Amino acid sequence: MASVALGGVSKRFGDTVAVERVDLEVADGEFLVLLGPSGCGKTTLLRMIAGLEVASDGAILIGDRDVTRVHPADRDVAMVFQSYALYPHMTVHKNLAYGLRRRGMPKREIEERVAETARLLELEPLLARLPAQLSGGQRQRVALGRAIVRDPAVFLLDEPLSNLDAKLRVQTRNELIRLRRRLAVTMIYVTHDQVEAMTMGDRIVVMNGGRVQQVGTPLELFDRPNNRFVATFLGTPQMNEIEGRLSRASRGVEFVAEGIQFELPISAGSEHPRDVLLGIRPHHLWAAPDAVPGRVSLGRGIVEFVEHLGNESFAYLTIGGGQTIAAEVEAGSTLSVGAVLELTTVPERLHFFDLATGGRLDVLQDVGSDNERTPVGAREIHGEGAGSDGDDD
Amino acid sequence: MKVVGHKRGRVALVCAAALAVLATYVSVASGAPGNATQKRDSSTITFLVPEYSTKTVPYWKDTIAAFEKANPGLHVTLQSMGWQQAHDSTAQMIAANQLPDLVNTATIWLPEWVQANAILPVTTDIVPAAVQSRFVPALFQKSALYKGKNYGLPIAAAARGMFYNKTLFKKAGISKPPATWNELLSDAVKIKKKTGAFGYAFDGKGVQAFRYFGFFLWNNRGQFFTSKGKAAFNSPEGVQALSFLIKLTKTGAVPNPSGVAAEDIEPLFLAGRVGMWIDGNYFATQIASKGQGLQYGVSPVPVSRTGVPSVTWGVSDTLVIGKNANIPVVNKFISFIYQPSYRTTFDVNEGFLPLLAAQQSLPEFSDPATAAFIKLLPQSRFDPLNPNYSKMQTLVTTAMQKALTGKATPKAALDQAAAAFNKLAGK
Amino acid sequence: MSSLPTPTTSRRLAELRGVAPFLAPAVVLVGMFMFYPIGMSVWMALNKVDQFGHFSKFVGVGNFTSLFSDGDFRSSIYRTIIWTAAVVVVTTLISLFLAVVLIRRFRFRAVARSLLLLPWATSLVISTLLWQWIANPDFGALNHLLSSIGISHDRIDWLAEPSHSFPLMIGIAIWASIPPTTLMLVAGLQGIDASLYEAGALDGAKGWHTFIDITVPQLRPVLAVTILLNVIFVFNSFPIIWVLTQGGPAGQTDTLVTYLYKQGFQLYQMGSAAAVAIVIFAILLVFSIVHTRLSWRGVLQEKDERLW
Ligand SMILES: Nc1ncnc2c1ncn2[C@@H]1O[C@H](COP(=O)(O)OP(=O)(O)O)[C@@H](O)[C@H]1O
Ligand SMILES: [Mg+2]
Repeated sequence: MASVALGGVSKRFGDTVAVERVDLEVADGEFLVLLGPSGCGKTTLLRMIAGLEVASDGAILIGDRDVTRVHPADRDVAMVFQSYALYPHMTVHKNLAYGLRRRGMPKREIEERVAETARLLELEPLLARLPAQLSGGQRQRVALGRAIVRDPAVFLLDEPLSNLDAKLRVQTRNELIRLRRRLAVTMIYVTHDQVEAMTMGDRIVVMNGGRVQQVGTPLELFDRPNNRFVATFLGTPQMNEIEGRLSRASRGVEFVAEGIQFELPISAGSEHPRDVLLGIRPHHLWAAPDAVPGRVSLGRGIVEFVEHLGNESFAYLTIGGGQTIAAEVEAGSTLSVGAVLELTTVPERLHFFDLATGGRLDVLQDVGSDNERTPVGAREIHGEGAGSDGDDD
Repeated sequence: MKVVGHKRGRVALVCAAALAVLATYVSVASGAPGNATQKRDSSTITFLVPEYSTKTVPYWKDTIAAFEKANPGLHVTLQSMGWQQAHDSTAQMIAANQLPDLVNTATIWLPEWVQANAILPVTTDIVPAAVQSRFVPALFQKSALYKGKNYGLPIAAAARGMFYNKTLFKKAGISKPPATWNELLSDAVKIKKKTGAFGYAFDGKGVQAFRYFGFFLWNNRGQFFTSKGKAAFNSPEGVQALSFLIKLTKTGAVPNPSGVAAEDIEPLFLAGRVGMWIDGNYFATQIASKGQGLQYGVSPVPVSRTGVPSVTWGVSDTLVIGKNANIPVVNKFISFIYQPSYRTTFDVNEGFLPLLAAQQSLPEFSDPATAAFIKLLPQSRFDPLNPNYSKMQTLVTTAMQKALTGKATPKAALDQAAAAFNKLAGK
Repeated sequence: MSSLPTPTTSRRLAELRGVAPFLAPAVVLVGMFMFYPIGMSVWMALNKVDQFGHFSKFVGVGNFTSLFSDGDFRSSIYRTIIWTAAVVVVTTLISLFLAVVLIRRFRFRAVARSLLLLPWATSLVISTLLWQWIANPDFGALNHLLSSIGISHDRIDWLAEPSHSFPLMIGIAIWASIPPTTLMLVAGLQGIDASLYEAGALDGAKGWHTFIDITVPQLRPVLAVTILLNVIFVFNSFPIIWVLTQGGPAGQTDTLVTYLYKQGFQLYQMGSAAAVAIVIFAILLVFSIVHTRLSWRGVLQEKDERLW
């Protein structure tokens, strides 16, 4: 077990900048998730930590040791590859034992460790098989086992679940979470799947275009996205975005967009009026025939179609400016296309971003306190989406 | 249902297999007799020539063009091949019944072609009497004579003699070329000792190797074959000849014969590093072009002891007539090419000796080397015609190599070869 | 027990019925170009046949018994095995080394690769003639080289003594076999999943261990194929020996192929030559079967494929 620290790490492939000036600290025993769209540099960053790529700039520390130029064999890290990369010519047993053998561990100890790992991952009946004789899930477990058996300082995983079918993925995800609790080892986990990230990570690093966008706990990222990218990347359905203008009003500030106008009871900051982007998650926008008193109304919208996800339903509505936005409706409600609904929300759930830079504007800091979240109508508004655990009774 | 399907699958496979066999038969069947009965164009003949040198094919193209110009409406199709393939290509053509009308072939192969019933004996239909009388009589009558019939016309003649390096002889203090084996041996050793060059060299490896035994066999009154065509090379004369070659080799005055073929020795002689070497008169052409002023002479091959008649191994290649030949055109073509002017161009190009009486006095053949060879011609003996001649070559060469490398005594080696020969020849 | 075909059998038969029309042309071609010649050779080997292809007499196994009573034939078998084993083993080792070097990136790699292919630039006969010239005792580069670096000032007659010529010819055959072998191995190396090396590196493998534990096992199928092909080619290789020594002196450098050639095209014993061909065929067949059994054991499993 060890901590990992990256300082100003960059990686360039010719003209492509895969990773740009990343600073990161991973605590000993932490489960850190690297999250971002495909091609954003997650794998490259992970491979630099593993030593499979040499950083173009910056330094990498594992524990107190600078390993920037150390051979992968000498870093005491283990990695689970997306393709698993099991040795096709070795049995499961040999696959597990190989890393220990190379490190000169006595034979008896190797046997013990392999047996223990096999028991942990329920690989015992498969030990004599070749990788080709295993199912996808079994191969995945062997790949995991090959890393676990070594008891490495740092455990790296590159989209280990992406090759599994949906059901197996959920199952393995839960196993991984359990395993992780038992092993209490430093893990860096790459994924492009936000559900995986939100459910597994102690902290999440959101990356885009080779740069770190935000680092934080799943809830921090969900509730206080640093910028437009993080805000829209996390959460399904995607956050609604409405361009508009914030300006001083009689009772605070006023947001005006085409066909939308509402006021927020906050003291205006210095920089009004300004062009902004209003972000509202569909989970936080309620569409109903009648307005709910005490909530902010965004006006009316015409239902275009309704999406039923089982325990929740979303309507896609055209609002005044002709823009389509998504809002939650009563689960399973039988709304006809063309119905006119009232859209309401609570001010605490609104996000404002600078229209030009996409950076977060803390307009609403004055509404409530920073960290204490207001459970106004939370139950109705949230449904059971990600990030709702904080609201549980 | 299953059974029906099963059966149909098998039937399809059987059909396919049967088709394969049928197709093969058809292709084989159409290969052989189809061409034999092929109707031929009455104004065309085909002529197959081996390449003596790069000048051969152009020469024949020019000559054919002249012939076609002089005989409008007649055509000669020229085919050529390397000497290396000549025997096997010809045998294959015979096997396929596709032998051309005229073939320039090695005389030693005549018995094979005759046995295969592939060529015609010469008659006045093919070679008019007037053309026959143009030749040096001995060459026309003797070189292609097999079982009492003349199976072709000489088309190239050469003689072999011993080339010796006059400069090396002088350095070694030798005044005249050796006439007997003993003299050959002592002169060879002298040259090696005094000059460092090899005294004598012979081919123990290449296709000519058996001749370098034969020169000694014949100059010791030996023969390759008995009159009945059985092996005679293992006679006491033959054993003496081979023993002498071994004795000569053991002096160290001769390059290891297992390692050198004629092609390797010729440049060595040209470089002045071999004192004596038996070769055909055509080698004189090479010396003239590449010898850089090498001083050499030509002498008869030494005999085993004084009193034994000296024999020179003559060379003749023969023009044979395919059994399906288009006689009228062949007749015209032969009469045309055996004119002194065409013959002389050919002989000079390739370094051969004149075949026609009218050529002998021409200035083209008056240089000393050629004159020396023309003088040797009367002593020449040609390759004996035996249908199993090429088997003898291989067996004798192997016997020479066995004896020379000490794997067998000369007698054992030759006896073994003779036994093998008689078995292969069915004698 | 039912006489009905088992499910697998009947499925296979159904498959067969479906593919038969597509199979037919291949069967015809294979029949024409493989089984017919093989059948002819076997028939020839049982007869006395002259150079014109006339079958004069059925002799049964006579050709074989006289072959095996010939000491030169028996030593040709032995020599062919030495020849093949030496050439294939050394070629494989050198080519493996070269292939590993050549897939790395380095300066002048392109130059190195084209130099490697040089022996391939001309036909084997031509390059053997070149070697003949190099080995010429009087004018050749080899003796010149030996004397200029002071190893030997003798006139070494490379092609006269079997003890010199046979190793030299083995060397030339190795030289000629390296380019295609290396090329195949390079292709094989490039086909190895790079992530295996990365997994290996993380598992602590470096250098030699990477080679032994990952490269060699992953290359095994390609190695097996190159070895099999090389054995067949080298066993049947004709030009080098024929150009340099014609199997001589006195058959002391004959391999089965040159022996066959002499039987067929110098002594015109076509039946006997066909018998030699059958012996060659039999030896290679046995080798191929044993080789395939040994070297492909487990490989198909590893690739998750089954032979039908
Ligand atoms: N070996 C390489 N050579 C060139 N470009 C590369 C290489 N590896 C990755 N890249 C580029 O770097 C960027 C980041 O890739 P990667 O780290 O694999 O992204 P991710 O894992 O987030 O999908 C991509 O644009 C990719 O094309
Ligand atoms: Mg990736």
